Amino acid sequence: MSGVVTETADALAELQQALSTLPRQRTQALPALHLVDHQYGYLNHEALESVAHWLHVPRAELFAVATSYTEFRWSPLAEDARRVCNGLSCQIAGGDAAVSGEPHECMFFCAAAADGAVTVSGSGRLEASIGIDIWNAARAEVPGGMHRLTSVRTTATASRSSWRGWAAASALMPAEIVDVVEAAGLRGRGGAYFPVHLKWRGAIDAADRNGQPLLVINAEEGEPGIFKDRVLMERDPQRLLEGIRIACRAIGADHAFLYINGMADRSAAAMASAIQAATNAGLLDGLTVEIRRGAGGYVCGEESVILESIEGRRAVPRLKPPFPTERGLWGRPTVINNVETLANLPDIFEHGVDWFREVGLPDAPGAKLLSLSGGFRHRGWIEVPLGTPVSDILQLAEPLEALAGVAIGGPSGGFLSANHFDTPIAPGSLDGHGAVLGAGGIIGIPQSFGIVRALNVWARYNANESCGKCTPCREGSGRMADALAEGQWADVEALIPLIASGSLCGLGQMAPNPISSARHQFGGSVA
Amino acid sequence: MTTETTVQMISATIDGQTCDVPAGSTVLDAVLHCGVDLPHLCKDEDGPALGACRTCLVEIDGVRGLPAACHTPLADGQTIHTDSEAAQSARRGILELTLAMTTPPERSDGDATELRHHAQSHNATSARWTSRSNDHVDETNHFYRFDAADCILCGRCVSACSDRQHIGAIGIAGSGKAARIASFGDEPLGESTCTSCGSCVAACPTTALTPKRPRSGAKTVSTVCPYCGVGCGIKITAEDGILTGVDDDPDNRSSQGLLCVKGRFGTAFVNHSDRLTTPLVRGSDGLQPASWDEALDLIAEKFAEHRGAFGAFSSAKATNEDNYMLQKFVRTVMGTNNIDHCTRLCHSPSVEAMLAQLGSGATSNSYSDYEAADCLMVVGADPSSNHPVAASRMRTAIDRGAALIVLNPKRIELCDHTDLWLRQYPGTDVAVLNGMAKVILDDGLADREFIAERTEGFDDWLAELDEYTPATVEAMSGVPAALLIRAARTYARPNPSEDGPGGSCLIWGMGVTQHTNGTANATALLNLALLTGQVGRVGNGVSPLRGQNNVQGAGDAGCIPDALPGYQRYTPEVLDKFANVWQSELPAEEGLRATDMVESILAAQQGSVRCMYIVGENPLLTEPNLTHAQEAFDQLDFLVVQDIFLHETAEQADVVLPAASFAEKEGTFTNSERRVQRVRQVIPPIGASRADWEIVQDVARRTATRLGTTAHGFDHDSAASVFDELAALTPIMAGLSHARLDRQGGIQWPCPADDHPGTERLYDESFPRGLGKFVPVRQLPPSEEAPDERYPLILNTGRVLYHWHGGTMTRRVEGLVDSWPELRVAIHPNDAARQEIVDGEAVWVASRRGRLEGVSFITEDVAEGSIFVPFVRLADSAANWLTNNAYDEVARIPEYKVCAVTVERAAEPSEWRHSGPGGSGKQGKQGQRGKRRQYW
Repeated sequence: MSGVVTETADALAELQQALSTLPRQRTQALPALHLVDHQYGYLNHEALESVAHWLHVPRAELFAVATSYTEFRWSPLAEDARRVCNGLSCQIAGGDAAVSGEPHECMFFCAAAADGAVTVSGSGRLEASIGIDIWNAARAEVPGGMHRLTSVRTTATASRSSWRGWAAASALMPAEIVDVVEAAGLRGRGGAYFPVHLKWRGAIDAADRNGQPLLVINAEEGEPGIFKDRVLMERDPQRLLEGIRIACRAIGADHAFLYINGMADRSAAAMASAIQAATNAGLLDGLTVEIRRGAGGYVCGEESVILESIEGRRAVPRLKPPFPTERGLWGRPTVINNVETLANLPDIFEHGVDWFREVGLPDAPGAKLLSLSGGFRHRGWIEVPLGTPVSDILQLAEPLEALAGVAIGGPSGGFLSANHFDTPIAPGSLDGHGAVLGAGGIIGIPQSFGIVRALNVWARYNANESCGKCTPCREGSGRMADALAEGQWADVEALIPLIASGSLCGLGQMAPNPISSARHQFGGSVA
Repeated sequence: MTTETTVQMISATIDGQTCDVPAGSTVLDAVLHCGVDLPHLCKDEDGPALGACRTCLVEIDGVRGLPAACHTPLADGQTIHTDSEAAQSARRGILELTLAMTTPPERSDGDATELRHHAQSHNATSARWTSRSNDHVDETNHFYRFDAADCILCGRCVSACSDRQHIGAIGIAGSGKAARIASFGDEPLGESTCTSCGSCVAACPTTALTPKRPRSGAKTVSTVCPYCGVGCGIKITAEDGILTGVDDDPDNRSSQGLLCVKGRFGTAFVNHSDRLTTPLVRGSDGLQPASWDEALDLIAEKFAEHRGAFGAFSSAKATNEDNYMLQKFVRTVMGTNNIDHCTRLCHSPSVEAMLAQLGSGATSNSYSDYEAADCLMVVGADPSSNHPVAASRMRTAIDRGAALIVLNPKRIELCDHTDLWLRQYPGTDVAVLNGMAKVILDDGLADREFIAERTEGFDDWLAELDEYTPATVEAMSGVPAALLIRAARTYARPNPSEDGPGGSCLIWGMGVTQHTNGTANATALLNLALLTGQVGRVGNGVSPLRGQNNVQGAGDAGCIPDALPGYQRYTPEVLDKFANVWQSELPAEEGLRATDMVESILAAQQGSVRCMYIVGENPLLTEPNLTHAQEAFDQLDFLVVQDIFLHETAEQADVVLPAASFAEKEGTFTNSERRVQRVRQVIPPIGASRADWEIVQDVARRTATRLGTTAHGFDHDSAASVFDELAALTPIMAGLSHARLDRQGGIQWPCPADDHPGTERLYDESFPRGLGKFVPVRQLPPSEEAPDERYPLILNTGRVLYHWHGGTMTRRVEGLVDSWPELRVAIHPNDAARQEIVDGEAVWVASRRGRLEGVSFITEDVAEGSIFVPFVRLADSAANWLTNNAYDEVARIPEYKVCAVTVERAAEPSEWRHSGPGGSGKQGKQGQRGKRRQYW
């Protein structure tokens, strides 16, 4: 008994020692909770009280914050625990989480799921126990030529260290950098394809009113079937840093927050050493790039949730307006760009606008990284020009068996049936209903798996991942998933408009997309 | 506040109706302004938009989808449809989803709630979906219950707790369908950091949070809280002469819709069966009921006999009108300036120091300055317990990022918000404050321009500072040098920019004043403010937090021995002015101060007080060293006590007069920010009780008759008329009247004319005495009594959130007693271990003057070597049996904050411990022991 007490006391003392290195500010809430998680393997009340005390945050508020991040555990994981990924791609790969272990929402190793779901044994950290180089494994299955398509726009094979894009951009005035990006027509790669220069100008204009702009890099990538930002960060962290440097010069920021998914330890480690190296090389002079880690929850990819998270608050969306470019972090103008978006900047400045526009669509130039998983022989990432027909991509990916269709755009997107595989990938709706390119996840749905089952997986995922802030999404999405499972279409139809028009954030509003899209694409075979 | 600023208006068409609203309004503002009954379940009238309930969806021409009105800014000329089919149907659907979160109405009494009302108007039915309500119920708070079965997770309660009160006792925990209203770790609310302020209950749009005592009655009256000096607006509901509930008043400028537990849930004492309902006269069988005539005639006879040996205590709980009439009686009919009130026991050193250094004895700024400040320095005060709403406004600034410096030997709630807690040895404040001043000087952070233009005495003061180096101060006070230096720099320049150093508010309480060094402490504080120029601008200033609801007003109205109303000194001109209006000769020499009146009785010599009139005070609980005070009162020839309860002092009286409470009379209170506010009658006086000012008029007239003179101007027929006389004689209030206060709400003095808007901030250009004056002060021995072998611990006294002072009022409010039933003796773990005391057991505390029994509470909130006992009387124990009647030489305030004591286990109940609620209630409280109590 006394041994246990001592052990606990030691753990607490160690934690307090670690905490004492953190500034005593609420913005350190997530970093502090991660310290607790590392110390104990889970969160506990005693440790949380220490964190609350250290950060001067009321303890119930900290509890509310901590419990809103779904990755944190509240009890130790058993030594023999088997956590089984319940993501769509893993289910397609034959996983049945319910019988083989503790079901776990998507772990984002979608490309690795082959025979059966991704499974993690023991209480170790996910990536330590799954194998040393999942991305190598995934890439090995992708034919070496696939990224030739866009003349190595993402140099995934070798780290970029030239910083030549920055050399070119740093010779320009900030406003000229924005002009170049406007001329290039770069649009955000996180899924919304909003013109980058407009976002930047919004923040630049707001600087007079609300202070110096900040840059936030959305590296949360917490969406099933998407794993392209991880590749960029782990393979070529300097490219991202160079992009960050260019963006910060453009908008006049001297502080950037790189918000990385809580499970992507390798990405965080790669970026941390890259930041160190770049700092040592004097490449980040006057710029602080601070890594922050998420802790689960699909909603953490919603840009305003990232702001809340960095400020040390619950993982729920903010009200808009004000938009982040007007008033974001701590009320300051804040640009939130996706990793891939920024990773495009160095090439634009090194090779020029014309080079960038050589591929892609006139109103959406350039290439897009896609994440391929599910019923394909070649799963992994691939970069193709915007405008490429889905069928060309499928040809390269090689379906393992006949596909009923593909899920495209993740749980907020929709489906394309085999009849629509000639659809080119592009911003905006692909089918006039729910199907969108989004962040570029394409999951092959074999006929043997079936669209209906895929649809149910997405609906349940959206219900489980509702952050709980607004009534239509919290109360409606679960009922919608139930009604769908039970074939109660009248209820489904009643709920779709409530959730779509009533929800606070984009994720809630798009939660019915898979259903709307599937009904459009597959008609009677779904309903 | 009367100045009109031009607000740009924009217009909108709502369901065909055009209306104009100020620019910056939301669509919801405009819709509600137009009188459309649009649901907005998660939007509190005075709270932020939360965007959670989604029941305010509307259609706007040219805008895609169905925006939520509550967080959509209105653009000029927009056309809004709340009644379109799409909007109505979406709202109905969402209301149905909302209803399904709650218990169906047949199982609930919540039909009258906002949710049911809008469900009805939208034909939303709870039958649409199977109910999935949460069955968690929490009854552990003593004032309200939480029933999750009616919770719709709108978040209004959380916003009230976190964004308005800045307490953060509850949050929305969990995500998705696990989302819930929760305290830390889902612990019961009764064990949480909840302060029972009830803001959450007021905000709840359903019956999830409801007061345990249901509110009823159609009549609601806006008035002012009777507890502390913050002066919050309360709206009292009453039925059949009984107060049934209190709501906050968002229109009150001082409280802005905030209240604490005492304000919202603490007024039941008014209707308590212990209320005095008839005069009592002492006969052979003790105090017996008597008629008003009987009682008043006896008083007149005795007062007439004791003219020349008379003194009166006035009441900081009574109105300005009550106080004004009492001092007028004492001065004109009784011919003496022996009038004082409890300011003597709280802020007299502050007033003395401020008069000497600035020329006026009041708070210089407003609560709004706390919110605007870049730094708050809180010295010897625990606002979270004693001025909770002021503390909420301080936390507003802290949450915004303002720095906080706490100087206090005891850990207080505010310490949770800062790493600048300076924990000095008791009584060593001067050393710390002088030390800070020296750091500021040495670092070149002094405001040289301010010193040159606005102050005098700087060089003399400077000469006295040399010895207070950080290292020396650390040795004297125990405050680490590094912390002292950081605190000094932060106070001087909390947020330096081109515009200036940033604003720092200096806020202090009894921990500064209730020492033999009280005046020196206050002086050292003011020196610091003068040195840094931290006075007279937005976001800075000096604030002694006033304790009682009308302690400011009692002084303003002249219930002090050294000045007439409005702090007008006994100069020939002033005396002439008053003598003319009062048609009476006036005494020109200063009277005895409260503490000296008590000592004077014992001195029993020529001019000693032999007869006292005590209105609304209870010195036999609140004087230091009660045994000593009791000896004094025993010597009195004749004692009249006028109050609402038969308290300890009243029990000793020869005549007791029943006074009406604050809820039974008209008048005004003046709060800590000098705001004069209307007190209004809610119910008729209880029994035969009467307003103090009315009683005093009768006493005055009858006493004058006995003396063969006439009492002029004791025939007012309304409190408004009394106020007019006060205002006419008092330049700082000359522009005020009941009618104006009714029209415009509370106004801050000085308000010298009818068209003067009142004064938010003093000293922006000059001080009343001209230049601010630096006064050198040295650290003297920290206290009169030092710990020794026999009495090794230092006793610190003060108050707790759930009780008011001695507890005369709060002991008569069930929920407050239940929340804090025992006299807790807070003791450091090491001291407890030495005495083999365990947490929660009966202990004796003894000083050279007396002893008490309490219950041990082991906590590091008190420093080793110190204990803390609140001075509320619970289970027949009171801290002032122990305290020392040692006084500050200048202000004559007793040293309540330091005396030497010993603590021992009370294995057996002591012989003097009476049976009382503490005995039986003890076991039941075991469950609450051991947990951390943030709020004292």
